[in-house]
Amino acid sequence: MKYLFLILLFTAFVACEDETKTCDQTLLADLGINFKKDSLDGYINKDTIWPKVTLYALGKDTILSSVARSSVFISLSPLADSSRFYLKLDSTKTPDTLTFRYTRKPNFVSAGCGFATFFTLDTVISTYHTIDSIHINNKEVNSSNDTHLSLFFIY
Amino acid sequence: MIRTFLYFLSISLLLAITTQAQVKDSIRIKPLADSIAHKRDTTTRKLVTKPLSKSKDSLVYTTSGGLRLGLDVSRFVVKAFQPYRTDITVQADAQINKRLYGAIELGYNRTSHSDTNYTYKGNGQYVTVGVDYDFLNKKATGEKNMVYGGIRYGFAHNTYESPAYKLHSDYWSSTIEGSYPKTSMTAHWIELIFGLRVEVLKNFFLGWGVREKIMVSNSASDTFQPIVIPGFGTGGKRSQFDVTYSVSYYIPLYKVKIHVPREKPKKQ
Repeated sequence: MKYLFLILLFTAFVACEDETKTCDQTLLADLGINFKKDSLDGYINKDTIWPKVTLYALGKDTILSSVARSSVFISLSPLADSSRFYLKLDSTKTPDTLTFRYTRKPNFVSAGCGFATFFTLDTVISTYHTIDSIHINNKEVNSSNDTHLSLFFIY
Repeated sequence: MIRTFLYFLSISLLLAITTQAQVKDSIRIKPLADSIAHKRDTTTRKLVTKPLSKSKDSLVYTTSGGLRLGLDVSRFVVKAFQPYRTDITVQADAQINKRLYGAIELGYNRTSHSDTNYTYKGNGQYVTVGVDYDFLNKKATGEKNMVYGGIRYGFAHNTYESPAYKLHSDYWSSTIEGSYPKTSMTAHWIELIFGLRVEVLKNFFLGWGVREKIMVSNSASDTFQPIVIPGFGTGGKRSQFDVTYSVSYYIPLYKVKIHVPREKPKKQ
């Protein structure tokens, strides 16, 4: 009983810590994309790794340059309601361009972290040179580490 | 961490003093208790008065009931740990019958924070209303010490805003500035309390309590929860644990009837 009381008191003091000092959550609201190999006309979908993935937003710095990946994370532009990305999956493959249209909303994450931009996906437009189809799993792009989009390939 | 430890130490000391006071009290009261049970004498305690009526199983006494007004001093300690918070809480409770006390708590909170990412301003009031059930078997009819469990309904009204905030993006090398306008929110919650109150000087009480607060409804937008909901704690949380330490003064005002079971005479 005595120890239970001490534990209770201690939790109270932990709860009493200055919450503006630490940011315990990620402020990055990145859009997660994974790659799926479509066999048997959509009946079997397996995660697939592309050997040389190159990714960047058109006119911006390179996010990935010829690295093996089964999934990628991209940061949508907080300055506009749409952004475009260049995605090349292998050296021999034709690159695709992904266009995202979305709405932006400032969101108070926590007292320690402050505000972050959260996005709600509206439309995804793509060229289909290497990509076969796109599936949106989750339209809400917030700080939860989610896979929002699946890209399907047939090869 | 060191501050947490110091705070812990100071509270432990206060607790030790309270416990000691209680021990003294019980020693002082014990002979009194015997005399009341057997002789129905007038005692040195003014609060104990004559029995009203006799029945076969119990005696009915009246004891002084009144208003206990208190200040929650733990809120000032919260200020030391969370400098952005300023809380003031006053409490009042009054005896209804032998075991039951009606209790009310009123409070005010002001929250103000500013750092490189955002500024925040908020202020609001809250009220909790409920009852305390006293578990302590009294050694004397006038004894006012309590070991209690209680339940409260809490309501808060809070106004808050963020006059300026910044949104950073490393990849897009951008910083967007914005502000969140003044917004009002209300919250309803339930509190479960366990605690004790000890009369350390005549009519002067010290007491501590632990409480678990469970949010029932909160009207704040999910995109911007207030940093502090007055009386509840951190905004956006489903439940919150809290410790209170209060000093209170008791004002005798009225009489409360108390039934004391008569002890059966021992067969020899």
